[in-house]
Amino acid sequence: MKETRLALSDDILLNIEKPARYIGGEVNMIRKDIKDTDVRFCMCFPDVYEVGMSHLGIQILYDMFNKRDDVYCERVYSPWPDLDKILRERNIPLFALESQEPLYKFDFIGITLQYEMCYTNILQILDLGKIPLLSADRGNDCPIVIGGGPCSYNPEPIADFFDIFYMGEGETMYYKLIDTYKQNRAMGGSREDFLRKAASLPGMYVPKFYDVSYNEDGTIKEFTPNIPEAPSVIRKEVEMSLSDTFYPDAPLVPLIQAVQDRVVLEIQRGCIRGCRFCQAGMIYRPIRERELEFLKDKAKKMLDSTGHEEITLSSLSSSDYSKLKELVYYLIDEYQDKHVNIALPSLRIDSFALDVMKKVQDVNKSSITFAPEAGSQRMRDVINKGLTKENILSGAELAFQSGWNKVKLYFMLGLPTEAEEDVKEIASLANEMAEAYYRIPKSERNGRVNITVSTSYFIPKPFTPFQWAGMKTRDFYNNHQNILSKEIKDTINYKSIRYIWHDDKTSELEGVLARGDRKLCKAILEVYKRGQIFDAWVEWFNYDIWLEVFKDLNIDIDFYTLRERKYDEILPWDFIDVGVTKKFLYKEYEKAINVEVTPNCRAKCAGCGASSFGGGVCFEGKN
Amino acid sequence: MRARIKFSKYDTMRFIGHLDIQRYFQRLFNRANLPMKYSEGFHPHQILSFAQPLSLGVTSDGEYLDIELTEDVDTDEITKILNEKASQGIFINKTVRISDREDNKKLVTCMSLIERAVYLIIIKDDAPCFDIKKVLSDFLGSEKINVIKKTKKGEKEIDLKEFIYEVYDFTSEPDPVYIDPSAKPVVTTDMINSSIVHAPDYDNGRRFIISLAAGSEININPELFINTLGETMNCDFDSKYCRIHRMELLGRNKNESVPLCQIL
Repeated sequence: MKETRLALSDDILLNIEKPARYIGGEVNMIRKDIKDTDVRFCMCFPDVYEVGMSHLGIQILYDMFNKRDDVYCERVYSPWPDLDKILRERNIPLFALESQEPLYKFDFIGITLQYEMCYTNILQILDLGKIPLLSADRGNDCPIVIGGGPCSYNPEPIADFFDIFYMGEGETMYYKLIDTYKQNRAMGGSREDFLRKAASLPGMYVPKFYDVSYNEDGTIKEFTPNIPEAPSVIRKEVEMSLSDTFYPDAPLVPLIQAVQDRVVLEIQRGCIRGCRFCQAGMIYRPIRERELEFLKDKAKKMLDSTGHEEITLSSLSSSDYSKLKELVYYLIDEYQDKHVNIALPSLRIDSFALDVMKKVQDVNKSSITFAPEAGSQRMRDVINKGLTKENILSGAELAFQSGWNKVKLYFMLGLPTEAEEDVKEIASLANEMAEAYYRIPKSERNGRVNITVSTSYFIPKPFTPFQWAGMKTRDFYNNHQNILSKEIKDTINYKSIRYIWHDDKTSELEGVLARGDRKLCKAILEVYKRGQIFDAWVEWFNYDIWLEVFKDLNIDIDFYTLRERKYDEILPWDFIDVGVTKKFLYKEYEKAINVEVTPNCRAKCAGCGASSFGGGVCFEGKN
Repeated sequence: MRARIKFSKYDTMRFIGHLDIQRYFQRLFNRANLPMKYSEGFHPHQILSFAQPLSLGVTSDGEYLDIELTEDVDTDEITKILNEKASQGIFINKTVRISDREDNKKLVTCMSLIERAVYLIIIKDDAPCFDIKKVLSDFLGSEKINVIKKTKKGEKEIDLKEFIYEVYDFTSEPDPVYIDPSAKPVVTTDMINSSIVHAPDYDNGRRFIISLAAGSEININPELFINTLGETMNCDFDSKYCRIHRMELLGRNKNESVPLCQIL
């Protein structure tokens, strides 16, 4: 019989890890004849297949684009270093999974930017796909390279590599962009003509139509559009009717195990909490819920079409979904007998959560997770994490009484104003939690308690109240880590507490890239040219290459990480309007320093600016 | 009820390993909404039993798996609905009902029945040129073919010839090259016609069929046959010049070797 023509020979596929990463053919993959479509769009997640296939956003956009008969949306992920080497040696162009055709043949390459450490992988994909790395070098025949996702809220460090960035949620503007592209082509317009038209669409940022000049100290002097079509401020796009928009009925099911191998039900977007370190909590405002009936319908359709045996609720803070109980009990009643497991991440631990978890999890095997983020109440007030020690301990006690004996605790070190005392309280919190466990009579408890404390290195991010704050030095972070480590060893229950921490070097680099400017483009390009990819993977990350390049190009890391910014400094991402105002963020920063908390959106509107989108939580109960 | 499913694994699915195929079928049964029987315990799983893993890169028209259902379902209906829900690369050839679980009796699974496998070896276009029929006859003409076989316990020397039952040159039509006098031939025209449906084609048209010992006691990988052939005959030939297609898995029924779907 005639077999599918693959881009790679059997000889290559049988000599690399997990050939299934490169052959497509997944359940629910869309097959179209290229001859019948007008626009070819390749969605890209710049990391390995198993990670990229777990991403909900691509599933939504893949479905959305392919609903149009005139568009064929395909996918590409980063080839793992084993294949990377072969593609280079044999000069085989990187290809999309569906048609197995090279990337340079596409009209669009859409790259999702989920974390800073994937930046070198973007260059890997363009390079292997035979697309010029710099936007400036691309001609009329080259694909339009467009970026989106959380890191596009500071696109400047990668601005040179992209033709367009899209600020906002994919549902609203992509059809318009495709129509504009088709129109431009029909009228014989050039690449330049299209980009000018794109620049005038809401949410679209075309970096080359903006000029940046710098002060002597390296800060931005001016950031201005250089063509009349380009607006000086770009406002993010949001989908305000989440129960009446694109969401797949039949998501792709990978043929090998992905990181997230289950049906994902996104119950809401945004967050009411206002934690001051959290970028997602600010850029996705206002919180918008999906209707219960919409979710029930999608749950059924997706389980039927995928055959998955697990469904998970996705949101930044599931407990804040107003109809959570109804939804969860519905899913349990409807699906538990059908052997569908229900996963509930980001749930605040209370009696409801424990009741549900008891029904859907094996108490002996699963663990309870808390994210206090900081050890002391003072520090938690600084970051506006509305969680008290009493909340945490009473939640843990409830869990212990129900039979759980494994707890995970997540913290950050290096937070603004953090002192040794704040860090030491992490140890005492863990110890008190263990004490609470051992107060349960021996006959009623389940062996020894197992508490895992894990700390990460706080990185200030754009569009958060801490965007002006200096990141702490690696010495500071390591010192606090050592203090905590020693403090934990000195607790009475040290045998029940395990401490793990994040690598400081990766975090430092992430700190540079997160708040970087256009001057970093050259560095990222150079790091890539010196052979670096997969920085998000500990085994491939090479700190020394980055340091070497920064040194060679006279780039001062501390300028980006350690420096405390002034309120009137022009930040590289200031031209983006996310709804939440700079004024509000700065007020929040001041409140943080003064240890003042801000109530959540439902308790009291803090006037952040997101109400300008005209919906969501800002108008709950007002219509 | 218990049922045995005979399926084909072909095209790009040849790059999906055994564990992933198991997960694929679990989801396929869910999509087909079949009343699958689950194991007991906190993490119940569907009761599935595959006959034999297929190496990566190998296609097949003769794969088997046994399933258990909580109620009776028409076997043709099972085949039909599974084919509606399967994606490209998996095709259900037939479903047969097999004997139910009985108390105090050991369950006979498709895996425990296997004693032979039949393979089609397709020579790729870039392979060196040689007279395939002559090379095969010379190779099988020797009294003994001693090879080192790797097993879980280490390496041991065996006489490969004892475990080769039938060999046919199939460049134009099936042409017997070797038939073990002690074993009754099982490769029939009917079997060939129904079990090379999803095999790959190459322009040069050179291919041959081999029937080898398989199962839990001794299992001869067709690659061992091919590589030994290349080495013994000094003809710069090995498994990288071949595509392998499993045609059928057979088990003992009374005194005959028959396809697993005929052992009920």
